[in-house]
Amino acid sequence: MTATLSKDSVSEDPVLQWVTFKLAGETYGVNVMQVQEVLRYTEIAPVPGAPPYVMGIVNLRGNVVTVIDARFRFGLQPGEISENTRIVILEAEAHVVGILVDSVAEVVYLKQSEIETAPNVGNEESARFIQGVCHKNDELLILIELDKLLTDDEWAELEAV
Amino acid sequence: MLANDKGLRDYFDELLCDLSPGSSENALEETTQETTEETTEETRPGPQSRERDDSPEPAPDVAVSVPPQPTAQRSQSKAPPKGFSLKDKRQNKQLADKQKEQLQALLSKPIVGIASALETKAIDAAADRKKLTTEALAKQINKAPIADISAKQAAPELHEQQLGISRAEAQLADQAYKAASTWCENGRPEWAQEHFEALLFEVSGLKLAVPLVALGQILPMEQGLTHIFGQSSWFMGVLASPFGNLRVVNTALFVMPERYDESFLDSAAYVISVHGVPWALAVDSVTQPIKLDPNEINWRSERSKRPWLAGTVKSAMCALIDIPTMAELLIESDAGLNNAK
Repeated sequence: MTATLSKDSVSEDPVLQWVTFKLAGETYGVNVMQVQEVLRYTEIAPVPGAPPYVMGIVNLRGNVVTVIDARFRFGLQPGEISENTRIVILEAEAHVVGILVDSVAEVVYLKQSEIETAPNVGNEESARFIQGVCHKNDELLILIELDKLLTDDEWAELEAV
Repeated sequence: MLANDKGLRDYFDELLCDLSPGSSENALEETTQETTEETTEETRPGPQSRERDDSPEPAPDVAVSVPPQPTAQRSQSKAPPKGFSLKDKRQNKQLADKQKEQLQALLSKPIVGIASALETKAIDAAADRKKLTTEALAKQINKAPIADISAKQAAPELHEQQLGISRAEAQLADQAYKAASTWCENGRPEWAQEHFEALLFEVSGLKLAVPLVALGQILPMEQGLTHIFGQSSWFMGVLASPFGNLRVVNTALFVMPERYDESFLDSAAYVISVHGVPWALAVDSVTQPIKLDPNEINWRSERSKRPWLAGTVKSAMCALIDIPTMAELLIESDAGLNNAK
């Protein structure tokens, strides 16, 4: 799925749009084209037997959407729910899933040339879905590649939830 | 004038003096007439010469002036000059007609044909250049790491070039540091064969020295680090600096994990960047550089463990870090710059 390109972005250096959110004090970004909507925190019904990174399910206008604990998935310390907590509904690999974040910030425009490769000095599986980093507005954005958020087996497992 | 056949015909007619009946006065006939009149003029003596000449005047010549006559009469009365006989004119006309045909054929040729040949050459040359460029880039690029497919589709060439450039730079730095980290037979590294300057700094109560060679800048950690999940424990985070994003090493944990104190995360105030690579060492404080004599250093003979530790500085009682070797290790460990996913 392609990101939205601005008019003046020639194919040489396209400008891409990213939805940014906060998690454990750091700012992350996801491709705007993969964000369906952002929900206020609502009660999440746990599912017995679900993988540890699955918080539960929510009812979205009659549809059941699985919610993933992003902190757990990213290997971060657990956090507390606040009035800024949001559930971001995403579409990745033809799957609709929600992720729980501390807060949603804004949509930023990033040039392709501004995105740098992220360091990868660990053996953790979680590092595989870091697409890159970008310095914007005096902070470093960590860009997430949603398609790699879960493996094919994990996506299949999620379908069964 | 040459745009149409009639204009072409008129042009050549005028140039070659066509003799078709009823045509207007031709230039050749006029030239013939002028020649005759000049001859007549020359035989008539001028008034000045008459005045000067004291000798008896010769008998005046009768000026023969031939009034202009119709062309037919003139042609009958006088023989044309050499080269302008009827036969010659017919030959000239045939030649002119032939030239007209050649010119028409040339003008009727599409100009696009000529340009397309040139364009084809230019396109081929550009394609060759692009092929060479792509091949050169392909040699630098091993395999794409984590990459956004959409970004690749949007700007595949730029994306590949960026990856190629960063990987190429890392590879070049790696090669340079490989050379610098070579130890000589005298048991000293390449950079310590003669007197060298070193920077002293403190890390969690431990004093360390690093050679100024291969050091970059000293930067404060005022803005704080951006932590990236999934990295090794000795990776502190990324620091945004005017010189680019620096990957900061937890020097205390890296150098002495057995004595590591987590308070270093709060006490670390500066980063010392390594020249040529996006890596930096986090330190508590930095002191003035000192000049060291290689003879005053206890060089390590066995470096299988902790290869980045060069030796001990006797005068300062501190450990000397082999920065080129450390840089080489950092580059090799960074899969984001080197390896494929």
